[in-house]
Formats: sequence, structure tokens, C-alpha cells
Amino acid sequence: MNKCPVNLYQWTWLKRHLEWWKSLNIISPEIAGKITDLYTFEKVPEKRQPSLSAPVKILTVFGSIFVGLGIILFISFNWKHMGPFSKIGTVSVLVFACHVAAALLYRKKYEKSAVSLSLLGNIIFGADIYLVAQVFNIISRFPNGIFLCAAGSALTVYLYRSRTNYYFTCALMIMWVLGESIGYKTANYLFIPALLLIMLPLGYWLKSRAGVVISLCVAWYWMIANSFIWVDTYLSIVQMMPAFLFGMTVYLCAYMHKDKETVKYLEPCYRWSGIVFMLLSAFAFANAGIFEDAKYILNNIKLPSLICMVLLLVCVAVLYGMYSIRNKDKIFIPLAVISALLLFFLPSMKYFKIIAVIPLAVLATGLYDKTQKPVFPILLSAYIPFYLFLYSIRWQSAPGIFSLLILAGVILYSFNWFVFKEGKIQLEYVYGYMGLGIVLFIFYIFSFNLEPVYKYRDFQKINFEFWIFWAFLFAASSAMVLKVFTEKEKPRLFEFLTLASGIVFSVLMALAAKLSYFSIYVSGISNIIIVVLSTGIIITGYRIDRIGLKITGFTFLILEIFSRYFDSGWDFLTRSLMFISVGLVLIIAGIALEKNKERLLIKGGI
Amino acid sequence: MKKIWIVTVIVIIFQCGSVYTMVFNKLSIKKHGTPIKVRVEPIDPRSLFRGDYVILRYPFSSIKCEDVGLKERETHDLKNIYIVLKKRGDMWEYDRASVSKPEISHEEVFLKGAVVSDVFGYSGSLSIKYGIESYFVPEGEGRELEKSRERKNMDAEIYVDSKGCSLLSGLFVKGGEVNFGK
Repeated sequence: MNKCPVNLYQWTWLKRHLEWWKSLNIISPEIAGKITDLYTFEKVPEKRQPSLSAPVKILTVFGSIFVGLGIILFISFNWKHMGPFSKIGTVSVLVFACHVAAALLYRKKYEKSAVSLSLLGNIIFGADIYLVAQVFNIISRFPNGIFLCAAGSALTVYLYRSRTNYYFTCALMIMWVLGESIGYKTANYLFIPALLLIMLPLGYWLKSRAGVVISLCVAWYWMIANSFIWVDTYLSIVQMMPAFLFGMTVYLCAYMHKDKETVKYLEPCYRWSGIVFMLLSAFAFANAGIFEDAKYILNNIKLPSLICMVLLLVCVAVLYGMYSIRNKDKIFIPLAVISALLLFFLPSMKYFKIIAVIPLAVLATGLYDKTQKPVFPILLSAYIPFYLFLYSIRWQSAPGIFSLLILAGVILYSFNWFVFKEGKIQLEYVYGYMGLGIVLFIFYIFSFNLEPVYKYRDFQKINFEFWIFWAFLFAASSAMVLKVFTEKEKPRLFEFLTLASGIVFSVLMALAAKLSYFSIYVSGISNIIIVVLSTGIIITGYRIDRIGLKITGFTFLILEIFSRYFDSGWDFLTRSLMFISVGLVLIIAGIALEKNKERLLIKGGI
Repeated sequence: MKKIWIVTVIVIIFQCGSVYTMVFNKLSIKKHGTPIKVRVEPIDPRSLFRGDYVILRYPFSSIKCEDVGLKERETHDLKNIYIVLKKRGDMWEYDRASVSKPEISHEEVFLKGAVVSDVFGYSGSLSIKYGIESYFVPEGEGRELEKSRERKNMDAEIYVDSKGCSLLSGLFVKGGEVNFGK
């Protein structure tokens, strides 16, 4: 009989549940043994296809970024000696050279190196736009320059079918949308064709989950920013309504992807993005929508906002009709829509913060009934501390707030373990790495010398409410961490150390908030902690082969190294030459690696 | 493979072409525009990768809502504004503002500005950007300029075309151009 191969997570889940069922006398040890025999764990860690594409990509992409930065700095250093046209001319020649060299490399099948050079061309193109601004002393409408750069970069995405250039384009699009909405009052309708013709189609074409999620997030932000333009500034309830409905529409779009094999992989992107958008929008309702009355809203609401909301409601209805009914999804969507409408039509109700929880509760309950997955109630339960935490920002104490945030991170990580135990393996990424990341991020913030900041802010407004909330979170996080690490079969030392030091640090921060100063020694301690812990997490990641741990560790270690370099060595080194030389070395190493890839793989016995 | 070269040529034409279009647009303002001098104050030097630039504040960088005949909350939709400058001696000074293209005499020019405001909040007056608020200087000299005693006596030379588009050409102290070694 052929045994069914399972991966590490499935094997762990199976063993744990068999033990549980045996303890409840549901199955006998013999049956448990027979079930275990049906599966095999040894076959699972399939040998990955030998490949050097990741190192080539990393070397050449970082090399391109360094060279791009170096060129900008080189012109900056030689500003006095270069005429306006020689500056722009030099950079334009480099744009030309990069794209031609990329095409030549691509013809010779060095695809990754070609992509990196085209990325360098795009970065220099961006630098060229800023040089024009510099030479002619203009900086107005800077978002347009960013959009221009994004459009130029999108062409190279099409040319090389390149994800690297696509992410660069997405990053520029984000900067463009943020710049337009924060700096100017324009509704930025150009974003709609940019989203529909550049961001989303390229994301689908490249089969990029991250790209689609980024596009949705930018669209959601655009919706919020425009709500503030379409509607009077103080009407938060009306402003967040399109954002909430957009979230619901995105969530329902998941059904459209569920049925089609070619785009099935995008279903979780829509589902999770939609849920997060709904949660965050509902939070915004809850936080500020108290003092609005219906009459005031009706007098001040504007046509675009109304059209937008009606269209979104129609979208929700159509999507629901087409997909939800087919999936026998008869409870939660209509109730959620009704709750959302209630939110819209009952804005004059005092203390309606509580109402914001209704659509979430309906969604969570409906989804739980339908799927039997505890994630939705957990998300709802996460909303309440999240809301309370944000409310705590009013206490105006940075160390105090960070103290709470670090505890929230620890709790999130612990959620991961309890959910993991229930077999919801995919949630480990949602909770585990998010929680670990939050804790490390707070250490990273405190690795800077924050004393000058404290001088200008009053951090003494800590009240009794804060201490009750803090004590509750402290007790909860400590208990959960202890529970997790006593239950784990193989405790991961550095994850435990990160969380434990987070809890200890939260005490220090809470005390520092009360003490009116936060010593410079804290930054020293934080630096040591972040280096030790991120290194340890990387090692753990390699030992147990967890990509999430490797990424988390590397991210914070690289952030730390760069931050300290910029703190101490920035003024002493010849920046432009340093960047250009390091970048060139990386690019050359990448090209050489790609050129000798096959020989190296054979030599390595792979 | 032919596609690669065709699209590469399109990429190069698009990227270099868009940059040179920007350059020629600005050069045409300098060629066809009217040079004017206005009082200015450097307020905030910033150091970026590409050197320093000085943020310039003009007397007409901020105007009251009443100047364009609107109340504070009525300016929510206002995107562009036109400022009329009138010649007084060697200098050009703010005369009036309007929300539409103004009629001007031969001793007047108008600048088109974008109303800048955080979409998430109101401010008491209208903050306006004309695209001439930054002056790039070699690294390290921005801070010197900001500390200078002469910063209160600084003028800017601006070229203005018939559409109200403007280009900052130079900074002057007591009639002499500030030399940044360009």
C-alpha cells in the first residue's frame, strides 16, 4: 500500500491529534498506529530543485540599488564642477547604457543580470527626473515625477516579465498615491487607470500574490484619501463607509477566484485583504464617528462619495448574488450589509462605537459557522485589544505605548501557537511572524537615541486607566508565553528569548514612561539585544528550515547594520564611491554566478 | 528577440524623452517668460542625498481665504489659485488673488499656484505652492545660507510665462546674485 506523504506541519498535527483522541478514548492505540502507518513523513522534505537564482538575484538587485545611489551621490559631490546639461546628459547616457546592456545580457540568456541592469536604468531614470527638478529649482508636484518613473519602470516589467521591476513600480505607485493625497487636494483619478492598466494586470500576468495585495492596499488607501476630499473633513463615518464597503467587495472577490483554476491562488489574497480592510475601516468608524448627526451628514455629503458608496453596494450585491448564494452562504453577508447600512443611517446615535463591532461580529460568527475555523473569532477578539491600544495613544507616552505594543506582539505570537495546535498551520505566518516582528521592531526603535525627542513631548500623561490595561496585557502575555514554551516539544530558544526579553523590556518602558526620562543606555542595550536575537533567529531558521524565521532575522539584522552605519560612518566615508564600488562588485559577482551557474552546480555535486 | 530591442528602444525613448520634455518646458519659460524680482526668505535647509536645498518662503506663499472671497470651509475644493503681482520700483509685490485666470495690466503678472493642504485637516489660511519653493545649493551651503544675517534681505529672480507658470532662476542679496559656485 502506498503511503501518503505529508509535510512536517501535517505530521505534527496528526501526531498531536492522535494523542488527543487516544486520551479521550475515541480511538485505540492500535488504530492510532494503523492511521500513522498510512502516512509517511520521510518522503516529504523533497529535495529542492538546485538553483542559484536567489543569490544571483540578490547580488545583482542590491548591486543595482547601490550603484544607483552612488551615481546620485557622485553628482551631488561634484555639483560645483558640472554644468546643468552635463549633469542631465551624464545620467541620460547611463539610462541608455543600462537598458542597452540589459537587452544584450538578456539575449545571452543572463536573464537575472539583465533584469537588475534594467532596474538600475529605472533608478537612474528616477534620479534624472530629480536632477531636472534640481537644475531648474523646482520641486512642485513631485508626485507626478514619481508617477512618470513608475510608468517608465512598468515598461521594463513587460519587457523582461520581471517581478523585481514590478515591485519597484509598485513602491513608486505607493509613493505617488501617498504624495498626491497628503500634499495636494486632488482626487487623483489617474490612479484608477494606473491600477487597472498597470498594477493589477501586471500582478496577474506575473502571478504575483504580493503585487495583487499591494495593489489592493493602495486602492483601499486611495479610497480613504478621496473620501476625505469628497466629504467634509469631520464626517469620519461617511468617509470610512466606502473603505468598509471596498473591503467587503474585495472579500467577496475571493469567491470569483475560488472557482477558476488559473487564478485560484489569488483567493486568499482577496479574502485576507478584504477582512483586514473591513477591520481597519470599522476601527476608524469606532474611533471618531461620535459627534456626527444625520442632518449634518446629509447637508455635507458630496455626489462622488454617494456614487462611490452606491456603486460599492451594487458591487457587493452583485458579487453576493453571483458567488455567495452558490456557496450556500446565506447568513453573514446580508447581515453584514445590513449592519453596514445601519452604520450609515444611524450616525447620530451617541456612543455608537459599540455598533462598529456588529458587522465584525456578524462576519466572524457567520464565517465560523460556515468554515468551522476559529480564525475569524480570533480576528474579532484581536480587534478589541487593537482598538484599546490605539485608544491608548491618547495617553501621549511613547515608552508607555511601545510597552503596550510589545506586549501585544507577544500575545499575537502566542495566538499563533494555540491556532497552530488546532491545525491551522497557515496562520502561523499571520500571528507568529507578525508578533515576533512587532517585538523586534520595538527594540529596533529603541536602538536609536530617542532622548532629543523626549525633550519636546510631555510624556507624563499616564493615568490609572493605562496601568490597569498594561497590567492586564502583561499578565496575559506572560502567562501565554509560559504556556506556549512549556507545551512545545522542541522549544525554540531564540523565539522564547525574544518574547521574554520583550516582556522584561515592556516593564522597563512602562517605568521609564513614569520616570520622565529614558536613558541613553536603553539604546545601547537595545542594539545588543537586536543583534543577538536576530542572529539567533536566523540560526534557528536555518536549523529548523523555516523561511519566515530566516526572513525576520535577516530583515532586522540588516536594518540594524545599516542604521548604525548611517549613524556613525556616514560623514567619514566617501559615500558615492563606496556605493558605486560595492554595487559594481555585487553586479559583477551576480553576472559571474549566473554565467557559471551550471558548472558550479555540477561541481557542488548537486 | 526582435521584440526585446523594439521595447528597449521604446523604454529609452520614453525615459529620456520625458526628461528632456521637462527640460524644454522649463527652458521655454525662461526664453519666453518675464523676469521679475520678489522678496523671499530661506526658511529651512534640508540635506538629501543629492545635496542641500533651501526652502523658500514668499510673502504670497500663504494668503487668507477672504482674499479670494471665500470662507474657510468653502475652500475645501479649491485646487488652483492665481496671484497677481504688481511692479513697485524694481520689485514685484503681491496685489490680489483670484480663483480664476485674472485680467492683468502691463505692469502686472500672474502666477498659478496649487493650494496645498493636508486632506485630513483644515488650516486657517491657504498655503500655496508655485513650484519655485526650493533652491538647490551645493552640499553644506544650505545651512550657511540659513544662518546668514542677510537672509532677511534676500530676493529671488523668477521667470513667469503667460500661463502663470514660473521658474526660479537665482537668489540675490543687496542686488548681487548669491554665488554658490555653480
